Amino acid sequence: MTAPRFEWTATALWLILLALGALLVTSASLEIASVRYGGANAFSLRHGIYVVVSLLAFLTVLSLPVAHWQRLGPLAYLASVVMLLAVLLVGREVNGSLRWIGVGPLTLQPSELAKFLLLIYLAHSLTRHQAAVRSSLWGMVRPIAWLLGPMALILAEPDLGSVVVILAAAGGLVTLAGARLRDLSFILLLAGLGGTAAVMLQPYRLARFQTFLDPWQDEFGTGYQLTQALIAFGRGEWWGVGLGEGMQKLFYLPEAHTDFIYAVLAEELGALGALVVLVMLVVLVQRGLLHGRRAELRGDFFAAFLAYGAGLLLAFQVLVSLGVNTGVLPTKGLTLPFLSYGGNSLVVSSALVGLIARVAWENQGSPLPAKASRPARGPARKPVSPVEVPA
Amino acid sequence: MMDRDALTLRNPEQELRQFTGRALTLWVLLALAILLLVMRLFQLQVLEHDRHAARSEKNRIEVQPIAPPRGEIYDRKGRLIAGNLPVFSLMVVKERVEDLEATLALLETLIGLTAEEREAFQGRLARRRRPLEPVTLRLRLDPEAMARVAVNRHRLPGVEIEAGLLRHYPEGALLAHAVGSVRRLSEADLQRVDPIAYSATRFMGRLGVEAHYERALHGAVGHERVETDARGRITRTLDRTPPRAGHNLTLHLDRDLQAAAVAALAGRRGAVVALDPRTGGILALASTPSYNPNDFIWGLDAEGYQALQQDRDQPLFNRPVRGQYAPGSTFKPLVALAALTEGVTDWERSLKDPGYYQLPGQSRKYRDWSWTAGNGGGQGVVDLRKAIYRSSNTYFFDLGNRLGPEPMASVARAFGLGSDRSVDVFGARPGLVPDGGWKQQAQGQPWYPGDSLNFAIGQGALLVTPLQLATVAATLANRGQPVRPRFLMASDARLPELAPAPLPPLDQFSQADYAGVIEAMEAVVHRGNQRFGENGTAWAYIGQDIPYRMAGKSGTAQVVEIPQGEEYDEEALEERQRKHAWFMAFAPVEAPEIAVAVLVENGGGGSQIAAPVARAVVDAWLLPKAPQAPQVAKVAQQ
Repeated sequence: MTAPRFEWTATALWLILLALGALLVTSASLEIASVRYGGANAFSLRHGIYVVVSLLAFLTVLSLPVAHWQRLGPLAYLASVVMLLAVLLVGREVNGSLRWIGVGPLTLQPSELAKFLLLIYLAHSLTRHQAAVRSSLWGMVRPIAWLLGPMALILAEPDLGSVVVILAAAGGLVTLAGARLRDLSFILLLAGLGGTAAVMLQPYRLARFQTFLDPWQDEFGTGYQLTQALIAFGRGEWWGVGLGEGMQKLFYLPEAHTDFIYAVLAEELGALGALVVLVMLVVLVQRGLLHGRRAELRGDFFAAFLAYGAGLLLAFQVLVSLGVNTGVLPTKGLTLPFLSYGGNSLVVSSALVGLIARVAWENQGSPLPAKASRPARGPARKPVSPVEVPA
Repeated sequence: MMDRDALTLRNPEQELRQFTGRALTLWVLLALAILLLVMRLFQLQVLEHDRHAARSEKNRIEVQPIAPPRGEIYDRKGRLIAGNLPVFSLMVVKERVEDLEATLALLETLIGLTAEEREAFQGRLARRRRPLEPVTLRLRLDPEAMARVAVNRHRLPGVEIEAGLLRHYPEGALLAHAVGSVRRLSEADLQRVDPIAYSATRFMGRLGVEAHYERALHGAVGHERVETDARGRITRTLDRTPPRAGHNLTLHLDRDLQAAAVAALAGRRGAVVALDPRTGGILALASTPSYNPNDFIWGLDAEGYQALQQDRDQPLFNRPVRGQYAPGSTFKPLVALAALTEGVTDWERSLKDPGYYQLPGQSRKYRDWSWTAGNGGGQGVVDLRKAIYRSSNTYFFDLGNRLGPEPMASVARAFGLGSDRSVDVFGARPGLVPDGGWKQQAQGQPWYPGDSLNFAIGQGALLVTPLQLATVAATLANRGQPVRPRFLMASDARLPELAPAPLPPLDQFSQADYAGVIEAMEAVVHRGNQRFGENGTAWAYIGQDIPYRMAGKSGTAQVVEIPQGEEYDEEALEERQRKHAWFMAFAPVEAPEIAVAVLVENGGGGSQIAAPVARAVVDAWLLPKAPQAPQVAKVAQQ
């Protein structure tokens, strides 16, 4: 067995994206920051602070043994519920959503932090009840059913985007955990119905949905944001107008530095730049899934679920965010990992990369604490040598 | 448990295959989603590039409407009566203001906003607006306030100083009811008008000439395409389609005559309408008390407006046009024409006037104005001519009784009563001409002979406006050629009002009868120095020194009914219940140049109170011209 090798690929991509993100946020927020706060750097300074916090979060997660998280599973669940309740009680309302709690100069966004915490919980729960997940509908539903409470709290903020991302990642995890196909299709049906209901019941969602079907119909009303984003993409063409040269971020495109950062990127760096960034994100996700696979093969299911989950969370967040930006999904407020302004998302995404790197590290033969690696219930599984992994 | 056993018994290799399959499926799904995104990127960025680039261009370029200067209004001698004043207004574009309260607070310290200004501003802000439409905070900035705002412009994003034109009425209250005024466009107005034509306009004609000729006066909106920076500040004007100014109007009104009319009313509540009988042109249209229309433009606070509205003297009420009053005895010449034409009387027929009239078989006495409780009164032997110049009620009671309602209603309608015949008088009321059918419908009662008696002396249900009575005077002056009253004399626009369809002459009445009635009306003014009870009713008040021939008829319209057997005691009656004083006249009789109707509300006797007003107006029209007239000059040389 070779000496543990550090997960350079994911880390390098993460750092590049982080740097690119800082650059884009700075340029995209110059105008709005000077209008809103009278200082052009108001957003970029804060973003800088969050970048530092993100680096710390990455290092912290990287240094903690995976087994450590497993013990914290139920606690993580509890913490997420408490925070989500707290935001509804003492949160700060921005643009009609109650998503933020002020903590000193920074803000906490529980729906973002919940992504990390609920992943810990779900990985813990799936590892513990793996046999049941594989053999019965109830066994499979139970871990997800526990998620419904926090999901309802997030919906109450409201933050439909985060719910979609978390549930999609949870679904993916359950699938990978070996749930039976008929159970899965049942869940899928329920999710479809739930989604339809969520769109129908909230008038603003319905309006967004209709806008999504034809944004140009109400160009200066509900469709404004999307049409301005599409204009940004369109202006980019192959090579883009050049970094910092974008025009849409100047006032026309609201939330250019947060939810619609990809549109700014596409305008400034063109189709090729947008594609390169997309590929970097995809490779990052792929590293998560790969290391999850490796952990699974060597029998550390908890670590596997963590890495899979981290990959899936990032994947869905990217897919939904880009889908919204390009107008293939209805508009909802969701950040693009690493690139958007929005500190909590940045920190949590970095922590997820930290998890992937940690799992990768442990996959490379770092000694596993025997106890934690084993599912608490159910049979122990024979570790499979990494040599058999199909690359 | 079975499941768990089955699971444990499974072949690890088979398990591995299952996982591999799942992972692969997931991967494929993710890859498909990513492929979809990539295709979408290609579509947006490469295929649709041109379309979006064009849209982005449109984004930056804003079309801004430019308000057209409103047409100006002049009197017949070219004196400005409604013009535009250049002003600098403080405007706020709410969408560009980051913190409205802070901005207002800063402005407060800079130029000191009043509570009313803030309140009015909040009111305007709450109304529906176009996005980015500036809202007025202060209509007229003085130079110092302008400088203070300009210096602090960097601290006041969204606050703009806008140069514009504001309607101004140099004559103020004098012509308020004639020319009317503009008011700030309300939300309700915006629903009615073409939103594009009015996109830059803040005021529109609401009353009078301003309202009637709104289309001509408004002009056509212009626009300019401007390039704006991200904050919406204009960096460059790309092209400009200038607005077309509104058309100017010249009215028949004469400012000096109007001033003379208002002066003659001397602060009493009343109305004067003077027409040119040849054209129907309105030479003066006065309503007192009046108001200053400029107040509405500069912004009248709620209190000021309420004060105007609740004023007992009703300064906002346009009496000559919208006030409907019983015409009283001024109606008698028309009844005379009807009676002559119907053969109910002739110029020779006379009757003895005991001071009252009784319907056959009824005890009720219909009194003549000369009746007194003590000696009964009466005006002796009265023929039709005397019945006019002495205004005998008794004689006309007799005519009314024998005519019945239809011929009287018919002559009234022929002279334009009961309908609005004006060409361009905004909001003119039709008055009311009663007849049998009307009474049955309105009051559910049949027409009684007593109604005919009242009708014959211009009392009862008959209602006319001063404008209509002036039209009657003009029609009489024209010996039966009716005219349609109008303000407009000339315009740079080809307006249909310049050449209204002429009305057919009223030749159902003979020229001899017109001449007789006019001669009797002349006697009202000029017959004097006779024994008591033989002079024209107005002679003592206006006829003794009059230098031209005037035909007139007084009227004294009862406001409250006097119970049987009681005397009309002017002093005892509450001032508001006194009779309205009327006088209609035209002059010179040979070739009439002016026809006048005067109403003084609760003035009392028409000859005493209203006739001097009419004389003053006619004097003002005819006399100043006399020294300048060439034939007079020649006479002086000879």
